[in-house]
Amino acid sequence: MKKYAFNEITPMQYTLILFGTQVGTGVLALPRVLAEKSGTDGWISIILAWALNSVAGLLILSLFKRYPDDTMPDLLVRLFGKWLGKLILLPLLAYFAFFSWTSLVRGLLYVKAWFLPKTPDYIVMLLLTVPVFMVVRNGLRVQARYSEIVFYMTMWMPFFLLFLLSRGHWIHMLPLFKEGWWPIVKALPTTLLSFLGIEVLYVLHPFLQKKQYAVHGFMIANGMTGLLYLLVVIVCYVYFSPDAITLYNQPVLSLLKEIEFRFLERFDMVFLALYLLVISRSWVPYIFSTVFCASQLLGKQDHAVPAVCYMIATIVLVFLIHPTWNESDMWVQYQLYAAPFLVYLLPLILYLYVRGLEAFRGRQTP
Amino acid sequence: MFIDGQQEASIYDTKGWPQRSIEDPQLESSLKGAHQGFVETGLQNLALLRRYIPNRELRIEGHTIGRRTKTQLWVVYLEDVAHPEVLLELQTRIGQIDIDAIINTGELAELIEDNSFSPFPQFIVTERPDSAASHLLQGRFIVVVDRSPSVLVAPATITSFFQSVDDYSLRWLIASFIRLLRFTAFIVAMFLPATYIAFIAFNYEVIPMQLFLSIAESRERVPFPPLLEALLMEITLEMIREAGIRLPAPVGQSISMVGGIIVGQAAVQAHIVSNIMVIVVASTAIASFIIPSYDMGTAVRLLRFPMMLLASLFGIVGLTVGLMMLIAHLVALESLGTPYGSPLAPFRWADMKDTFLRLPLWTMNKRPKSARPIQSNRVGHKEPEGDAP
Amino acid sequence: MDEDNNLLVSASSPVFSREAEIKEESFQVQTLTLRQSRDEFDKLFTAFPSAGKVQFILIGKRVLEHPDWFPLLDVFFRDPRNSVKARVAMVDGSAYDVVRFLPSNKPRLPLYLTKLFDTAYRRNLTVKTSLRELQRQIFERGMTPSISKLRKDDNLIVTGTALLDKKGKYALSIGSEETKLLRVLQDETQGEFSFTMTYPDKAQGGLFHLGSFSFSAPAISVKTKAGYADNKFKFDVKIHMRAVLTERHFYDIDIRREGAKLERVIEQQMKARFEKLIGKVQAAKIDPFGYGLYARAYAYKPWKTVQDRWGEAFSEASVNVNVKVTIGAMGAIQ
Repeated sequence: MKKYAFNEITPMQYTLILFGTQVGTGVLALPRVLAEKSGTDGWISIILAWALNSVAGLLILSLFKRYPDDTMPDLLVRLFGKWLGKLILLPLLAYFAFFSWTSLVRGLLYVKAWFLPKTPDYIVMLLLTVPVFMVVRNGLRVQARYSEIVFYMTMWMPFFLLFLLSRGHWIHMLPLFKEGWWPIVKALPTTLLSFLGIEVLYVLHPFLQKKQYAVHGFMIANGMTGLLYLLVVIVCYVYFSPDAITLYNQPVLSLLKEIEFRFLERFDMVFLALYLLVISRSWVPYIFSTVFCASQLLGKQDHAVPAVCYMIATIVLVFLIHPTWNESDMWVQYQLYAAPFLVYLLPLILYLYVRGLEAFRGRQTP
Repeated sequence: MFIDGQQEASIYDTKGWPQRSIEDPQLESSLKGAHQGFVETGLQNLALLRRYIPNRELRIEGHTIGRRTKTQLWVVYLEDVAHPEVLLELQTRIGQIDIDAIINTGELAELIEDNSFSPFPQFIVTERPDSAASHLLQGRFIVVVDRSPSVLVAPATITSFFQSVDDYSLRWLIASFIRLLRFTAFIVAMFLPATYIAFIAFNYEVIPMQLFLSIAESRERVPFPPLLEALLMEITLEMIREAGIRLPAPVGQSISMVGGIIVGQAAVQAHIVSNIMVIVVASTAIASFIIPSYDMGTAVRLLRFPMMLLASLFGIVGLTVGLMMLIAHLVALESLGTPYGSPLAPFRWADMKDTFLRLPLWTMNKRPKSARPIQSNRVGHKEPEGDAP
Repeated sequence: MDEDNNLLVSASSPVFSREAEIKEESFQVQTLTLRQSRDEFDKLFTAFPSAGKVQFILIGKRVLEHPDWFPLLDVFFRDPRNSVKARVAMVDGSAYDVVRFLPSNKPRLPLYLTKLFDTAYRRNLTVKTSLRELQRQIFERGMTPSISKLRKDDNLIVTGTALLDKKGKYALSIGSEETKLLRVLQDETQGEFSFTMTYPDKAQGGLFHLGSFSFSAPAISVKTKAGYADNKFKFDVKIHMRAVLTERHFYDIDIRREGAKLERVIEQQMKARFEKLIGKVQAAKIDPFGYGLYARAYAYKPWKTVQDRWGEAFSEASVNVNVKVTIGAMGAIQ
């Protein structure tokens, strides 16, 4: 029986949700993070990270291909029984919840630093979560439409960076491999983090209308993300001096400050304000995954109540903690520790387990 | 009527009542379209529709609602084109109505719409038989309400409110240009005053020095904050508009003269509002007039105010949040179970030919998917299966 | 900076009021940092000065003569609401004099200065160094900063470019003619380049320089190669100019047939000018051209050893300039 037939999404929507989940606030700081670790060769580690991530995604997909109508919670329950399955689901739920939280806090910090330094942070959080909640409380279909429309509305944004290429200095990129391979490999973990987002496949996959496009959609989404990051990083490297790029916390925004029109100055502010759309697009699937897992854990069908609880919890937490940039950086670091287990290792273990089970059963039933 | 030699008798309804002759539609005038509009007699309206589509697939289903008024409704659709699920939904919703009276189509729309808290119209209400017929041909449903001169078209999508019958009788390049103009007007009418407030009150860094200086000069003696200034002008304008509608035509014109020109001019001279604000408000008003559907126009007029409030409280972030909420609302909204944001979200490439642009008619041999037709080829028809008994 | 080496910050702000006769307010305060100066200004101005709209930063020469003045500008980079497009210029004299300058026939000071520098920049008479660009030039190990220079006599005059050393300390001044050459060597060849020179044999006296001729160079291509040999960096600069004759005071050379002769003359003189400028710059141990970038790109190993004292290393480098000129057009008359 198809449990999720009512909320099916098209392959296009599936692709765009994936792409939207991957691209968030991380890209704004990505060129600096890369430059700190591997200098101007950082773009090579993007290609490596892209390849690694593709492999991980394909692994997840080949796992779910065996259980096309299962989400991760369903699968865990199916494989390990009700109690053990739910026990394994707990860390995943915590991961999603934590990821959504750090990403919301990032957005909050950007808004506060750039636009509303004097507004209390919980009010800003309220402001940001209300539209997200309006989307999340609905079915996945509505979220897919949101991702879709935001994609079309913000498609033009990376192309503005191309304006600056003409003023860049390509000489910065030379020489290639200036310190050999080691720095490039060293930057891989951080780069992988910016490719995260494929874990929403855990809940996304059974909703896809035409399963035969699951791999295509994933490869396109991951490819678009990779190309976007490559573009952003190369433009930043070409524009900023390799010695100075590590000065800027968000090189992309510093870069956009340079664009000026006759009728508009400070393009970075307009850009960042509109970029909130993109950021919100990455919040939606994460928060949905969180509340979806939560409702599955509690055995409820409706996820609107957990969504409300989650939103209120974030606002209250912001009110209590008043997160700072340093804390947020620290949290991102925690994610970096947790992500490999849940995003790369978990599907691998499950895959091997499933294959083992199949082999075992194959021997049992001649 | 008894006929000699026949065993059956026929009963004919010969009731008559005062009725208006068929006239030019008042609200939706058109340049090149037909000049016949719907009238208050439902049967006449059905006849008008039948004249456009003399096809055996055209189905007319009667309902009666209203305990006291016994208002007759007819659901009209093309059986081989319209989607049965949507029909079922529509029938269920009409069946569930339990009310004493229905006087007008608008009341019906409110009773059967998906989300009554939305400012957006979820059904097209038209008084033009030609546009109703073209919706029928796309696979939509028409509900004709007796005693009401307008009919209900469902399901509607947001983009269908930006189309007008005239688009199809103009050259396609020109029609496309006008369509784009309407969408631009929609955005301007919704966001221009809010953007102005956000830039002036909050994010003045964004405005280039020279422009900023001239705005600052024009505002130098205005004592109000931008939000108050804008609200003052917008509310005055809305009042003038409302006054103009209800008054007889000749008086209405002088009202708009007094309101628009004299009040605006005097307000600027008295330094109550800056002249740039007058320009902003006036262009917003013009933009909101361009939207062909009155219902959509009013939705935009209303939504402008929360946008202005958000902008004055939170600057461009408030504006973006407003935009986010708007998108969130639009993608969640459905009209009879059909996504309201279609063909934008869910995106339908094929429907783009007749959304922002109006490509030549010969490119549109498929019906738009957003109306959920079961027969997508326009020229397709069901083969008659022998003679009906 | 005053006589006792206290930092003085002055600012000018437009006033929006019919009652005020003068459209600008300008004040001067003494502070430790720019941010602190803003608090002082808040006490003086009738409105809040906002750093988001700063158009110009004028720095007196006396400030520039001290190293390490650059961190003073930190506030502009740190607060994301601040603009980094404001231009930086050195004032030969007191910056406050310029800020106080209120010409009646000119627009408001910030607009006036912007216009003034924009036109000069378009003709490549000075450089256009925004705060952001200055930051890049300071932090980039491979080059040293250069900023515009102006002086106030009766009017404000753009006098060329001030070259600073790695710490931002004032090192050398070059005039507007040399600025053009600097721009070419930086490979920033947009805008208009116009050169005037004297044809050697025709430089005979008289009231007017009959040997003079001018040309503009609408297309200049610069190719720089770097190498390292004999413990020295070697730069090979190939400049190819397309010259359009705009003026000449002598008519006895038939450009149709003897154009090549004129081309050689230009090539020689340009080469001499370039070499003179490079020599001057090398003597001052700075590198406003950004040759360090090329050194890094093409000779990374040796570059790594000298990257923190590139100015010195560059002063020992040999730069070989090669100019090739093609006369593209001679105008409407022979």
